[in-house]
Amino acid sequence: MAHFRALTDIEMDELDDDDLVAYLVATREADHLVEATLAMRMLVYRYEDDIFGKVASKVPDHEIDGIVNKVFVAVLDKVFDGESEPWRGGTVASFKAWIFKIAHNKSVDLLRGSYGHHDPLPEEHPEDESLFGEAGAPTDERGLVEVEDAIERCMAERSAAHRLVIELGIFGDLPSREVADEVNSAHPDLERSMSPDNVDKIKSRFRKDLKNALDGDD
Amino acid sequence: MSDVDTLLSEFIRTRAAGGGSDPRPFLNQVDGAERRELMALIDAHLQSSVTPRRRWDPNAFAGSRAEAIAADLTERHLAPTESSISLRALRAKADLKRAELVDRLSEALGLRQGRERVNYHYHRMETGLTPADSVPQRVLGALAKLLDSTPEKLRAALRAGELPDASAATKVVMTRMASAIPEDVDTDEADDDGAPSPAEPDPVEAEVDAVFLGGDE
Repeated sequence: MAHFRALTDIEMDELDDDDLVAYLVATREADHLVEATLAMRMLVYRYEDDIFGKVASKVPDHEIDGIVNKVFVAVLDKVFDGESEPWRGGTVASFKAWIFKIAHNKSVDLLRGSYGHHDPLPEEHPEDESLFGEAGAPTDERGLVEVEDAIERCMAERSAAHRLVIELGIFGDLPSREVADEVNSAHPDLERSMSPDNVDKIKSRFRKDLKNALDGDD
Repeated sequence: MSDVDTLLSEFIRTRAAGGGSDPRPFLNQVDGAERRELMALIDAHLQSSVTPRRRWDPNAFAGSRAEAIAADLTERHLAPTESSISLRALRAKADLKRAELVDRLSEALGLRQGRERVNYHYHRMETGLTPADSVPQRVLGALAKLLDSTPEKLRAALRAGELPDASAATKVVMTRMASAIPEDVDTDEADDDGAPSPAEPDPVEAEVDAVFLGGDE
């Protein structure tokens, strides 16, 4: 019987994803189903709305709920599969990135089925169902894979400091002054400290590159 | 600011204010390349490590899509299996109060006079203090009839609810039993010496203990 200390919902909510998943697995193994149920509810509540948002922009409305449900089933199947932290060691960096990747692939699976395309893209790995869907990705007109790849490609070309600028300034929508302060604090070794003007230029360049990447995919 | 910038900012503000992450009302305001760009940026925002996660809110959870999904997952992954249903749950399923069950168990085992001691042993079983493997088949058989179950299922239920130190706790009880029932004591001699005689074991309790702790023949 696994051992654990039962946590209150407030304590559970403070756990990061890795610890919440570990707690869920431990309570389930110990047959403490009340605690396990609360941990599962929290994990689902933490991500359901954002996964819904991720899926809703890609698949027909009547398919959204089904796909979101499939995402969580795939996640929990893998989590309870006995492998510790299944999101480690793959191409993603965290539980959050992993669950979004699964959402992407489940959406791709659906579109592939809808549009009848069966050829996997070179970067897909059909053998890993949990990450890459059951049989590769579609090359449908929505260009789902390309849209996702465009961001990744544009980010990969940049330095860590510039990536942080984009994360905070574009994806986080923070004011340029705040972004500059955060970046200077996180990267004290920069040759010249980051100014709000620098932030605006970096953001503008990224947006231009993203447009080009998306146009190039047409 | 372009339409895309404005819409992205509006989306981020709406989400931060608890208005949800549905991008469709925002995406529907642009077409073509701009729509794809906004889709990519909203995706990136949702996935970004700097985007705050949703905090637990039991009131908002109630009746939400998340609750429906969690209910499906609970049934799929956390439904009690036969080996995880506790003795208490089986009693509840049989709609028996503990006192009622103890009365009937005492009767079934022919231990009506030792009802209080039966209650003590049953309490230990239900709270996981008695190791599943130490409960005699006779007791399980009687309980199974009362709970509309089988001795095997009951053994599994006891195992599921067993506390990690149940064996140690039972050893303590058995040791006390042994010391309370002296072997070959000549009570007359003890009285003659004027020494205090060991506490007389209650014969009724001893009989019940023998049934619950005596093991299988």
